[in-house]
Amino acid sequence: MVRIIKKKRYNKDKEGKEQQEEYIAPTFSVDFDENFEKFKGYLEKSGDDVVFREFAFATADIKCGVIFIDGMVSKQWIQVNVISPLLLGGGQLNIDADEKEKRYKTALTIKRKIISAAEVSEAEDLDEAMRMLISGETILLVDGYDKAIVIGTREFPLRGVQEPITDPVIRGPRDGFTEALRFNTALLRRKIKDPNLVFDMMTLGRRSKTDIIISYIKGITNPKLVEDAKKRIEKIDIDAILDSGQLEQLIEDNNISPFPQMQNTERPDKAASALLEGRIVIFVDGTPFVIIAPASLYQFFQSAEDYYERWIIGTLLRGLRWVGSFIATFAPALYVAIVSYHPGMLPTPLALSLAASREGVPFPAFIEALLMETTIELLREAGARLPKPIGQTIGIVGGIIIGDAAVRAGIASPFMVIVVAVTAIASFIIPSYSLAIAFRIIRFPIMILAGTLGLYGVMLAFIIINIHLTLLKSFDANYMSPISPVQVSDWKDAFVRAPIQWMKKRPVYINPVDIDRYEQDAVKEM
Amino acid sequence: MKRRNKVVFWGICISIILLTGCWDRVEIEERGFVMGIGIDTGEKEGEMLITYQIALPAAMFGEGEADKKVWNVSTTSPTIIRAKKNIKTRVDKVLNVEHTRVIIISKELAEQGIAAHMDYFLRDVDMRRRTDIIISEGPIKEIFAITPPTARSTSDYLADILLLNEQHVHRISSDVDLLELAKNLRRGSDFILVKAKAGEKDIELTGAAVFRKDTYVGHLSPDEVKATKWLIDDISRGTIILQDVDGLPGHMVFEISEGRSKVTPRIQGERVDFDVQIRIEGDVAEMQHLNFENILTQYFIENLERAIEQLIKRQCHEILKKAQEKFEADFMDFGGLVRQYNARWFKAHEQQWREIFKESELNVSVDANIRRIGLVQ
Amino acid sequence: MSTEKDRLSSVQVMTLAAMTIIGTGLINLPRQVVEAVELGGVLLTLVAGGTVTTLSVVITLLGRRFPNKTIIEYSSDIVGPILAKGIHLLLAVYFLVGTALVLRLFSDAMKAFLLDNTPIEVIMITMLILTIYLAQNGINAVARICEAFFPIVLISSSILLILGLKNFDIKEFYSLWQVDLVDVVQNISAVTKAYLGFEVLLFAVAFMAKPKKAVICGVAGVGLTTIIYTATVAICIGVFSYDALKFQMYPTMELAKSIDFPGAFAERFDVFFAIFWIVAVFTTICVLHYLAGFTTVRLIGLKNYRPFIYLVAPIIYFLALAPQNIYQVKLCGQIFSNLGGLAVVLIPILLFIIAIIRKKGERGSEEAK
Repeated sequence: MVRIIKKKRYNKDKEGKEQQEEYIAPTFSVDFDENFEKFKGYLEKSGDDVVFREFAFATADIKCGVIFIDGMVSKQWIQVNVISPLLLGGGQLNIDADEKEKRYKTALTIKRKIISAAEVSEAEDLDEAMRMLISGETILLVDGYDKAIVIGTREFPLRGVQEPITDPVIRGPRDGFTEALRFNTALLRRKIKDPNLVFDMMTLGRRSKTDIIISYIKGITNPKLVEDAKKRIEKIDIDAILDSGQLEQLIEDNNISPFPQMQNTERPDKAASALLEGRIVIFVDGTPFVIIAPASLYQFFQSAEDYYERWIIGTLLRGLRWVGSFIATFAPALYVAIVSYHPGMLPTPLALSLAASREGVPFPAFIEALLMETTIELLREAGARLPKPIGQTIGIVGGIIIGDAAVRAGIASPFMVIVVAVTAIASFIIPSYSLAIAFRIIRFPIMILAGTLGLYGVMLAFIIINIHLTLLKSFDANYMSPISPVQVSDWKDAFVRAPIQWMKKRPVYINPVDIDRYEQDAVKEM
Repeated sequence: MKRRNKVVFWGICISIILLTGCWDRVEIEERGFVMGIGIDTGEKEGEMLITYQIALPAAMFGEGEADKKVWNVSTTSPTIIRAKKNIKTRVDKVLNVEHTRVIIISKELAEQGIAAHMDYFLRDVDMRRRTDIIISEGPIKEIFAITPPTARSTSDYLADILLLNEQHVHRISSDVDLLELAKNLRRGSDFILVKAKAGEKDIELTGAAVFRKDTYVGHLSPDEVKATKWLIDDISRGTIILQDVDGLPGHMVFEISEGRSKVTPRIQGERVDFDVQIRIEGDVAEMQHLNFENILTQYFIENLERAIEQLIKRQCHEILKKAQEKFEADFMDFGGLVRQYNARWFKAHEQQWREIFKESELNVSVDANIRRIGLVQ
Repeated sequence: MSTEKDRLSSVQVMTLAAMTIIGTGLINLPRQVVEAVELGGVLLTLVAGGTVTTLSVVITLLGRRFPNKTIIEYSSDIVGPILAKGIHLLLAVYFLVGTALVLRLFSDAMKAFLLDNTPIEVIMITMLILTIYLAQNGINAVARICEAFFPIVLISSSILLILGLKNFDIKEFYSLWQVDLVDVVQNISAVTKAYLGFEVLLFAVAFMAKPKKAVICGVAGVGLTTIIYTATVAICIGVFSYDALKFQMYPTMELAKSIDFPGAFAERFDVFFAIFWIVAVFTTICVLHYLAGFTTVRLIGLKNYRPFIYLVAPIIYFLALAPQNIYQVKLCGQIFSNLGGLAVVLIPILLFIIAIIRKKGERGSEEAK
């Protein structure tokens, strides 16, 4: 059954492609009016924002027309640099030829001499011209010329370069990616001024025609990795890509896993360091988040600041994050398992005071934990979706008042409130939001296992998670990489942050072409 | 597509198991934590009076009546596990022995032998191995009736005395826990256990109970316990009281700060003698003749040291004699030492060991050092 | 046979061998040793470890003579297809019984220490589900898990042993010079069963990326296990003295029970140790389960072992449930170790000798050492 569906789909794809191949885009004629009408015919229904301006080239009295989309171009710039030179008839035209020839040559001259734009190109057919037009270029049609002149006038409402919200640092660069693809590539170029830095552009989305850039450093990144990424992106057939998150889901290795298999960041420095490690960075137009692939679990515990402060604090903070992730995943489950199954593991005074505090709590520890964890997830989601000032109020109301009231009302024991609070705080310590989500999700199944099988269940969960992580791959790189398979040289940047002088090699598991970070001579000098 | 089937398969498998689960779940507040277990002789022959001291956590942490921190439940039964089941019919909690801190056995019962009653505790997986075994002078009920204001329960009280003060008081016999007891019982060797006696409002740890194999044979006074501790390498921060040293009136008290004793068996054919080397260091802690003269001279200190050495030597010989003649029990576990030093010899002579032990002699050498004299000269 | 990516690294083979051996032996080996010889327990463990290390050298050398071939393939090269089928059958039965036995011993211990009232079937089924999940992904995945879990087992048992030193009495070893060496040598076979699991090398060598290092990896894996085992036995004897040790079902658990956590922030170290021990046993069961599926499928003559991982699971489950009480389990252990003596000790040695005599396999790789 499954196979049949697959086959059908496959056939459909094939047919679709064949159709496309047969389709021939309408070309332009020499006649200006005809061309102009063609555009009008396509675009009139699409709204008021398309501007058609028809005028005559003063010098030779040739019909001209510009088409652009209001709001996506700089109107004033068009007026000054395109329309007014043409209207006022700048430049001498000494063309000796018949009418037809003359017009053609005039058009070339306009293109070459009159329009003072940095980017001028030509569109051969209507489809191409349309695509350009929609992405914010201006189309100039000249009577007698059978191509559309495309003038680079893109300018649309943009956020400037601001401090990234998701990866804040105390010390370190404060610029963040924006929604504009070109800004982002520029920010990266500014960090790595290496001609080997490659930006490979692709377009994705039948309707959205989103620009996507795969960037890598030639000579460091393994070409197989780049090829694999390109292949995966080419396979995608979708109507629109609005954010890199969507792209990530479409190219990841395992779409059932709760764990993120690619890193995302708003920080150009993080992207740059990933490139220098031999990874690829995928930009998607319209989002400040870029994707870094391949990823390994340990990477999600790294913060950009680990490298900017001295190594001791970086190492300690990494340790803290591993501990935090363990707490965020296992603390409620351990509470349930110990309270309901193995109270003998607690020191006697603690066991007695726990028993005293739970006297009167009507639910089993498992239900109690589930209740409180759900409450805190509600609070967190409520806080995240509300405007910032209200969100904070929710946090305070939820955290303090509900916690206290739950204890007073006898629904939860004070220990449970502590466990829940510590769990929540611990999950905030993980720098990567996507990984923190993963831990938040798997916490609940582990709690169920702990509630039914006690510590044995918790250990089963631990083993399952480990098996899953070991089997998981990200672009053919092992997700558990420096742990299994063991790669001792990668440990320097995984659990600890070794002094920079020690990290002479790029991560081995990514298989970079050039493994040494420094030239051998440079290392000797150090 | 294939992956989806897999996920469904695993989902079903796991949920079947989980939905039928929770066999072992007992909430912590539903458990009755047994703090101590008392075993006494019953009225009828072959029956025991067994008391479980169950903690009442709410009362311990301020909400209930302060003087009712524990609940003592007693029952008569021929076996321990039967007693536990009896008590379960009368208590609305699931009994939990994971936090049991002491097992108290009455002297009368101990005179009949304790090995049979200890088996359950060693077999039960929930029992801790650090549970102390204490012999009670009088009936168990008297002991469990007392809960001093500083402790949560009688059991905590006794266990904490042993835990905190045994290191500092020489006359408390060192605590024997289940682990230690199990070793002795399985080996069939002799041993001593801490002895407790209920007073009006408190319980006193008085000396020790001597066991031959698993049977109570006699009592060691605190001084004798002290002497025994010289011989089993278990020297606490105790005191040695000397009288009339160097012709000075009143008591002189020497406090041990560090000590070590080493016993080495010397096997000569069918006879074993023991070399005992004791090294102690300590301070002068108290002097009753206060004449404000500078008497702590080198000469005096040497005399004092010699007196201490003499005293320890005498005590060692006395206690060995008592063990050989009065108790006929090798509670210093010299047999174990011989076994450790020469297993083959001991295996051959295991049956005659008690006779051989009776003929053994000690060769004690003591080295006492006074290091400090406190703040007064 | 397999691509370069699926190859096992040297560390993986080492940990695979170690983690397969370390299993139920960890918690009841001290008793077995002391039951066999009283005084020379430590020596016996060491000597048995040495014997098994030697065996592992034989096995890896044998595997190296036949690159990319497991015992399933090269046995028919050496002794011909008919005899080889017999060997396959023996191996398949051995691994099935072995998986079942370890599963049973594990479940019994779990029931005793963690889940008193939970049906033993539930413990077995949950464990089997986990091993199916991992084993169906092949030896590479299993080896990677072994690699990841090895530090957990190593660290948890080291902590146990270090904390156990507090009650350790060195005097228990004063009589070591009186050990009857003949007695020790005679009892090697009784202890070797705790080391069963090294036979994974019969298969692992074929999947190695660098088969030249096979011998070192095998020796390192078995050697590490020997060290852990010897230390465990030594400390158990030092803490309990060997005549009290004989009475204990799970001496290592008893050792954990006797430990006082520094600062008393937690109690019942045996539960702590038990949950880490789950990891050690899981890897053992998983490797054996994989090998049971692998040998069964080759016995029938098919290639794809995946469905057979599922198919052998019920067999293992019912085999594990078969013994009615702890003595029948012990009896099964005896049968298993006898079977092991035949299947993974005697036969590889014979195969090795025959291979040398008949000059089968690559001699080149032998000399390249």
